[in-house]
Amino acid sequence: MSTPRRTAYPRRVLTPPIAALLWFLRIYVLVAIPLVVYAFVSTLRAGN
Amino acid sequence: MGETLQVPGFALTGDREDELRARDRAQVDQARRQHRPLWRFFLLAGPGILVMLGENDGPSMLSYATTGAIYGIGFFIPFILVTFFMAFIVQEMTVRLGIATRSGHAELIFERFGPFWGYFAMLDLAVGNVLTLITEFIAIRAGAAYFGIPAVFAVSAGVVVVVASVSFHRYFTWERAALTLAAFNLLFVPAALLAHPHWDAVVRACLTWRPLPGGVTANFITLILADVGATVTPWMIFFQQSAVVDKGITRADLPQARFDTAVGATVAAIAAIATVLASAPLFTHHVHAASFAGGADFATALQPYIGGAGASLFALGMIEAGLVAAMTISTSSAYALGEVLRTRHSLNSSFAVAKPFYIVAAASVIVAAAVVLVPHAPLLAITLAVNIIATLLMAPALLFLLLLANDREVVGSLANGLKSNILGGTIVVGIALMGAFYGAITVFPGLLGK
Repeated sequence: MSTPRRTAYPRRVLTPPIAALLWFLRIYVLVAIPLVVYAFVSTLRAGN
Repeated sequence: MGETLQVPGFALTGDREDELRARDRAQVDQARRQHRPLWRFFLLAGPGILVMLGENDGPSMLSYATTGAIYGIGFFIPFILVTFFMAFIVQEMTVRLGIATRSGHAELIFERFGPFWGYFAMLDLAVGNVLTLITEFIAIRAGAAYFGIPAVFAVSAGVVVVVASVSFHRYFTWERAALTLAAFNLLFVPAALLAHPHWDAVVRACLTWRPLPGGVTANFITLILADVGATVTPWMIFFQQSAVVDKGITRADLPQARFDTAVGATVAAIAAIATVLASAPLFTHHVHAASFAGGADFATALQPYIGGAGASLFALGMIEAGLVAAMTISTSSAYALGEVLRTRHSLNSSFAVAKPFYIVAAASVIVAAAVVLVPHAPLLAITLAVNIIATLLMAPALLFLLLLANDREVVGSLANGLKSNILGGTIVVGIALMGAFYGAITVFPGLLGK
């Protein structure tokens, strides 16, 4: 059903392993974003 | 809206969305009571078939065609079967999540892991989807170019079809329109038959995973990673879960919903293998296909070997692949935005109550189509960026999928068991690692040497 008529689930209590996974994910994202930007810009500079 | 329906498990408020969903559910319940399993499956089929055939999009079909042209009939035939098995395992988790929580993937991430990850997932999906939509319109334009149809007309017609499909404000109508179009993904099958493949070679390939011309090279690994990376994409996870919720699939329907996903994976695998078989004559006749940029190039190159009819089927198949993917991907964006912003997000809602939902669905395809028509637009850079973004951002999407599928507080008894965690976890970790590796070698091609 559409969200406005549904009671939201409560925030999940993060166990240490899950919290660690999410920190690992933050680092992964920090690495991934420059990779994407680099790939896009370098292709543009290579003359498409 | 007619008389009010009484359907167990579906609260009726006099709202259009509720009424239409209840009407669909009443038909399913009637089919169950009357013991009409085929009719019940017909009513319940949709999200699984659409997600799998939507994944057989323009870039994917080009990837399969390239595979056939470079490697012929051999290793990649059984490999494609395995990738679709992996896709089934992953997508089945979204079915259980949707049924157990009656919530979309984006809103579950938002609620269970907080706004940071919620907005991140939304941004991840939005960026990937807009760029992927551009590649779908590139496929539509390329397929139409084979028939001499001007780009402006082809792309505009694509936009009209996608926008018209959501204009009925009826999930069932949209789904049936998309399913009808998606059936044309099988156009690659007659194209393959016209290539007169050696069926004994196909059977041998399935049994031995050979031949593998040229052995394991950098190109081979890149194609392997590209095929795996294209098997499960973030939009598929978001789309199927939201569609399961919008359709109103319940726990009693779980076997049919699983079967729907299995049928989708099987049909999509058949179409994918047919594309490999259809383009295999290019391998046999040593036609250099690595530099082909679009469906029109393949169709033109294949014409001497599979005839004008076969080449036309191939080009039509490319148009269909782009069109169906445009319908499903734009809808997945609209669902996710509505879920995160907590606005109405159902194909059963009227435009008046779900404006953001419909505006996102339409605007995303209009923007993508407009980009394709911009003279000298950096389409190659966009295509490359799509591959990298899809593969790099798949890891977070898959991680959240596993975390949610194990979240017993919300999924209850439909949570992953030990077996599904071992199987699903292995696949998810494998796909995520391969996707990340593919992203890395795309950015740094020197990593694998020559």
